[in-house]
Amino acid sequence: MADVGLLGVNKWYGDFHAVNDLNLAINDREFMVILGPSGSGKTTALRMIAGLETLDSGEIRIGGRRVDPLPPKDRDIAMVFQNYALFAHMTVAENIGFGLRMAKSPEAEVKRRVLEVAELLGLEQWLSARPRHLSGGMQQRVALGRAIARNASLYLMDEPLSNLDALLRVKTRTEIIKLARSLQTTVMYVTHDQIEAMTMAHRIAIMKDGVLQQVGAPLDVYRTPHNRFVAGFIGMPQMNFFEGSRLHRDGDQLSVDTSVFSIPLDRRVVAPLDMGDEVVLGVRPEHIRLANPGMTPTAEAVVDVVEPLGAQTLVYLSAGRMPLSMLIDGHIELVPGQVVQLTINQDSIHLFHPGTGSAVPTRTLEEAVR
Amino acid sequence: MASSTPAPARSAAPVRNLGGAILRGLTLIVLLLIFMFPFYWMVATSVQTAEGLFSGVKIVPDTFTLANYQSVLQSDFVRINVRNSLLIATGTTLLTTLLALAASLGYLRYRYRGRRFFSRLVVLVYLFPTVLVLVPLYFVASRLGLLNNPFGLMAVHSVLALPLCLWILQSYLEGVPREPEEAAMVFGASRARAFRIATLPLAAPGILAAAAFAFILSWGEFMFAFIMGPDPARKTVPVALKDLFSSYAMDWGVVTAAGVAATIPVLLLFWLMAKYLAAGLAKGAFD
Repeated sequence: MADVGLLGVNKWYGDFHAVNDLNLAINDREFMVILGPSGSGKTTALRMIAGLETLDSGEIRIGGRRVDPLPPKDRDIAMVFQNYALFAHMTVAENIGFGLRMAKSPEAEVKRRVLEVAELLGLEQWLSARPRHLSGGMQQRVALGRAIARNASLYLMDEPLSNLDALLRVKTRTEIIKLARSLQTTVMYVTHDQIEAMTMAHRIAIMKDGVLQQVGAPLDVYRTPHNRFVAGFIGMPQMNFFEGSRLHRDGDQLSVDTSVFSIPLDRRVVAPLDMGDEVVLGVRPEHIRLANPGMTPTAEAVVDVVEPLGAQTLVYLSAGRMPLSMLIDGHIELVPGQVVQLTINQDSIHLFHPGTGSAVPTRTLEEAVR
Repeated sequence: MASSTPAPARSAAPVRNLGGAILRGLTLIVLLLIFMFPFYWMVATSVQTAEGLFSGVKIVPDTFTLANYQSVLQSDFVRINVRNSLLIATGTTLLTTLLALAASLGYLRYRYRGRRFFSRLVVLVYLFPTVLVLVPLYFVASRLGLLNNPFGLMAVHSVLALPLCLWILQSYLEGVPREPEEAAMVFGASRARAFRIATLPLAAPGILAAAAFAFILSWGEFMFAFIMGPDPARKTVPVALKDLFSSYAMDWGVVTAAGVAATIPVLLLFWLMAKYLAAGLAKGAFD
C-alpha cells in the first residue's frame, strides 16, 4: 500500500527517446493501467519503477520514499511478467514462497502463506509440480501467486494476460480485478489492450512515443479524449475521423461541415478557432444512428459490409467517397448496397486540430454564459 | 542463421526419395571411415604384439595383447604427464569458464559505449596465427617466473580458449530468457544471487560446452606446453607423447597405447556431456 510518483522521468536508448519527461502520480490503492501501443514506453516506465532499467533523469517515489537509486530488491514491490518468468527448476510451492524466503520469513510462516495463496488461486493440487507441467493459464496463476504471497507495497504487472488465449484472458482479467480489490493494494498494470484498460482501471494513463497523452478514469478518457490519438486508441470499434472538415457560420447558425454532410452546432461555442478553420471531426461508431422516418437526416450513406456481432452489428458504409463505420442494435438488419439515412447528435462529436491532433475544447452556450 | 531450432531440424528434413537417402548415408559412412580410420589404426596397433606388428600390414589385428597398456600404466606417462595435464586442463577450464561467464554477463547485462565493437574484437584474435604470440608470451611467462609452472600454462591456455568460450557462452546466454532473473531481483535477490538462482540452471548447457572446449584445448595443446615446460616433471601428455617418438627404438605398441590413453579423458568428457555439448555448440554456431 503506497502511492507512487514519477517526476520528470526520462529514458533514452541511444537516439531513441523511450520515455519523455514522464510525470505521473498514482494514488494509494489505485489500480492504474498504463495503456499504449508497442514502443510507447509503457513497459520501460514500468521497468524503471521496478528498478530493472535505470533512469536518465528524473525521480521515482514509492510511498514517499525515493527509490530510483535503489536496487529492485529494496523497493518493496512485486511483479507479474508477460511470459510468467517462473523459476523452471523450482516447484509451484517454491515459486510462490520465493519472495518470502528471500525476505528470510520463518519457514512455518512461508508454508502457511503459500498454502493460503494456493487456495486463493486454486493451485493446491499443483504445489509440488514444476511450472512446465502446467498450462499457460496455470503458470500465470503461479506468477500471480508469487506476487501476492508477498505483501508488497506496489504490484507491477507487465501485460500479464497477453500470452493467454481469449477465453482465459477474460476469466483471469476478472480474477485480477477481484484480487486487487480484496488486497487493497496499489497496482500498476501495463497493457496495449484498451478493453483490459477500460475494464480494470481506476484510472488509465495513455502513452504514445514515450509521451504521456492523458490520464483519467476510463469513461472520462472515453468521453473526453484530449487528442486524436487517445480518441482513436480508446473505444472499439475505432472512432470515425473526417479529415478536412470546416467550421462554418451562416448567420446565427454554426455547423461543422465535412465534404459530404454537415452537423449543425446550434448550442455550441468553439472557442479557440475562427470560423472557416479546418478541423478533424471525430464521431464514434456507436454515436451514429439510423434516422427515424420524419427526422431530418444528417447524411445519406450506402451500406458496404455488415458484420453482425450478436447483440450489436458493425456496419461499414460510404457517405459519398467517405468511409465510415456505425454500431447499431443487433436486431436491425441491413444488406450491402442498401441506402440508409444517418443522424449524428451534435453532443457526441469531437473536434481536433488538423495539425497537432489536440482536441478543440467545445462548450455549450449554457456553459459559456455561466 | 537466426534459427531457433538449429542443427536437428536440418538432419530431420523429410527424405525426398530413397536414392537420395542412400547416397547421403553412403557419403556419411565414407566420411566417417576416413575420419575414424587413424583412430582405429591406433587402437588396432596398440593391442598387437611386437611380432604381430612386424609381420606385415593387417586391417584386422591377428594378435592380441594388453602388454603395451601395462607398460604405459607403469611408466611415468600416467603418473606424471597425465596428472600434469589433468591439473592444467582443469585449472584452465575453471579459469576460462569463470572469465568467459563474467565477460558475457558484462556484455549482456550492461549497456556501455563500444559494447558490440569489443565483443567482436575478441573473436578477431583468432585471425592471427597462435605462433605469433609464442615469443612474446614466452618472455612474459619467463619474466613472471611462470616457466615450468602449471599456473603459467593455465594462463596461456586460458588466453587461447577464452575468445571461443566467450563466443559460445555469449550466444547461449543470449537465448536464455532474462525475465526469471529479473523476477528474482524484484522478489528480493541481489543481482549476483538472481543470476545464480534463475539463470545459471538454464545456462548450464552453454557453460558446459564452453568448459568442455577449454578442457579439450588445454588437454591437446602442444606448442606452448612444449616451450613453457621443459622440465621433465612438468611435461603434459602431448609433450610426453612426442618424447616417445624421439627414442631410437620406436615402440609402436607403447606409443599407440599412450595415444589411446590420452584420448580417453576427452572421449569420456564428450560421452558424458554429449547432450549439453550439442545444445551449447549449436546455439553458438547458428544464432
